[in-house]
Amino acid sequence: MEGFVVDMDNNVPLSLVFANVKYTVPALPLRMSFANEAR
Amino acid sequence: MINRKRNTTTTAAILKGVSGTGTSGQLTAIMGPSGGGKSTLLDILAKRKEGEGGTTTGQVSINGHDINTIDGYKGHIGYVTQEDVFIPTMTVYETVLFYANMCLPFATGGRAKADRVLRTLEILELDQVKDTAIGGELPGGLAVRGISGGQKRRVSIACALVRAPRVLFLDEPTSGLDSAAARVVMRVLRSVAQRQNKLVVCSIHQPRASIYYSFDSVIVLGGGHTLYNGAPQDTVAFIKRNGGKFDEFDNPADVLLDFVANLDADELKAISDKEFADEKGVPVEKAANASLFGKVLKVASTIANRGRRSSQSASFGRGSPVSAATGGGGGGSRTPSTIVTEGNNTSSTGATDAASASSVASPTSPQSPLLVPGSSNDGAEVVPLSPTSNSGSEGRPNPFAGVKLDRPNMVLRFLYLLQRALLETMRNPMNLFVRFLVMFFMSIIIGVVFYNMGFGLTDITSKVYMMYFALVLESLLPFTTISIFLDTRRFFNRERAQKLYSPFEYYSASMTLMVLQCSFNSFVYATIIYFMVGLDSDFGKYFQNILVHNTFHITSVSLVIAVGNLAPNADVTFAGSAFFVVIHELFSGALISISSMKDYTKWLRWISIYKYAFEFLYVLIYLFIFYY
Repeated sequence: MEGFVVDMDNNVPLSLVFANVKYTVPALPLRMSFANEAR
Repeated sequence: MINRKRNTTTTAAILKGVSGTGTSGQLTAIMGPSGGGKSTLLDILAKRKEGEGGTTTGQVSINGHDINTIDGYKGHIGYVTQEDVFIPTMTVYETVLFYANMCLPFATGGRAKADRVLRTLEILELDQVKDTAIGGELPGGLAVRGISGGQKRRVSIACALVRAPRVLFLDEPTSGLDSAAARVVMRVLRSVAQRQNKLVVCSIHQPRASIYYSFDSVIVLGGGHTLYNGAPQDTVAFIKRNGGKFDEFDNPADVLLDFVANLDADELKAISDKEFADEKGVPVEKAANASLFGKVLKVASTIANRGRRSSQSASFGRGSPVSAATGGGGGGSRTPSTIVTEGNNTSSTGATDAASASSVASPTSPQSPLLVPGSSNDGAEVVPLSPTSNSGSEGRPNPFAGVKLDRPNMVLRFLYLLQRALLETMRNPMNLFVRFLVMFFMSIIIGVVFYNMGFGLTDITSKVYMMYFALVLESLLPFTTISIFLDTRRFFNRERAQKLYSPFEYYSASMTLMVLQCSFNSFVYATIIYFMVGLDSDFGKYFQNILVHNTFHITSVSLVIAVGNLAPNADVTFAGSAFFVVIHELFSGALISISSMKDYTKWLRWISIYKYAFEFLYVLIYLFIFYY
């Protein structure tokens, strides 16, 4: 499993950019999943 | 007529090409009407959409590095869901400490972890309630008094923050909170963003004006498009220039959402094209020909500022995501951007063709239509972004590259889980006591009814039924664990999504505790029955008798839990468990002799746990041959 950040004082400036993000899902009549389902 | 052709695959586009930016030290909101894709976008940014069956394309990068190329990306980010799912009987401190234990390496030491937890609680303004129970409803309906809803939301944030993520995503952090609680949440989020220079991005539905204006940047989605990306103060101008009306006493967030909600898909797309085409100097007609903003923009890139940002709030330029990125450089720092105009989609897995990289507008060209007017690029570096070549990050250090990622090993995670399960059980012992008391009194009743029976044929027959009856209770009592098991599944789903542990570790801890409980209960149960009924006093046989009861009881509980894992809810779990228990009983050999069964059903006895337990007890004590 992946690890987590150890150093709490890391404060390197960050810049997030997202461009042309598309998301499509199969058009099902009914989709059920558990709340908070792991993704 | 119903079309039964199953090969016809239709898809629904949730996001149709959205773009935007966020900068550390600031609060960024993703807004839009319900169903507009806010949570979907947030999930994509946090890489939580993988394995859900949807298709994602486009580009998401941090400091020019595609998130798909960042090692251990999820270890660098924190994600706070809408629901606050905690164990009600644990205190605030214990809850956050559990997260610290599960995420920080053992070498950190208990003292350092405790300090880190306390420091986090202080930032979240929870230090006054650190020893108060979280509170909430226990399985079965009992309620535990605890902290308020707003405080619970801050505990959720604390659990994410104690891992010291550089990026924090929050799904509607103020929904369901009253005005005062929401303000406190926003205050601590601003404190987190500014004091720790974190990149904080929230999805938010319809905030109050005070909450709305507390964001530094707002990204508005509508119809799967980005409609607006800029300072919240500038949304009034956005509404007016697109034909909306705004009264000075209106809440801009309300007006904005109403405005968006009343537009049809074509109008939303037209606004998206117009807004961003205008901003970048691209003729509107050209943008329209390209169909939408997302098709004009191929790849966007922004580079982190040199040096630490000023924590003061900066006012973004209106409109485009590019302007937000460039305008966000408070304290004199600059964030130039480069946009590629090329039609092909990029894949989130990093499959950008080389042509796209080469088609990046010249970073130094003053004619670049993609550099936002008014944003200075002197001394700054404009770097194209390409997931395959990582050219966007050339010469720029990966902000995550030197960051140490670690965590406790599997054994320690198992022990922390076991410790929490024990704590949870001891704090809510009713189920434990009830099961013990039922088994204790039932063993007494069986002992009294079948007390000191002899070895005549009638007595032996009665003992056979006694043994079967004793097993029945051990297979029915596990039904009492269904509500608890299904309740804990909420925690499991949430915590597994946060990568706190693997299913194996969780179930190992849960099953260890279950085995201990079952072993003790069945030991008392079988011992009382054994000696009251007057079975063979040989210690070896007694010990084996206990062993059979233990194994049978544990297997019965495991069976119910297995059904619970497969079933979607409590009703199906009960029905499924009852079905399996009855099948096991039917082929136990006690109700109908194996020799009397039809040949085509005889094989079913091999899957009956009753058969093994009943036969073992029978043979162990009597070795009678008429069983077969």
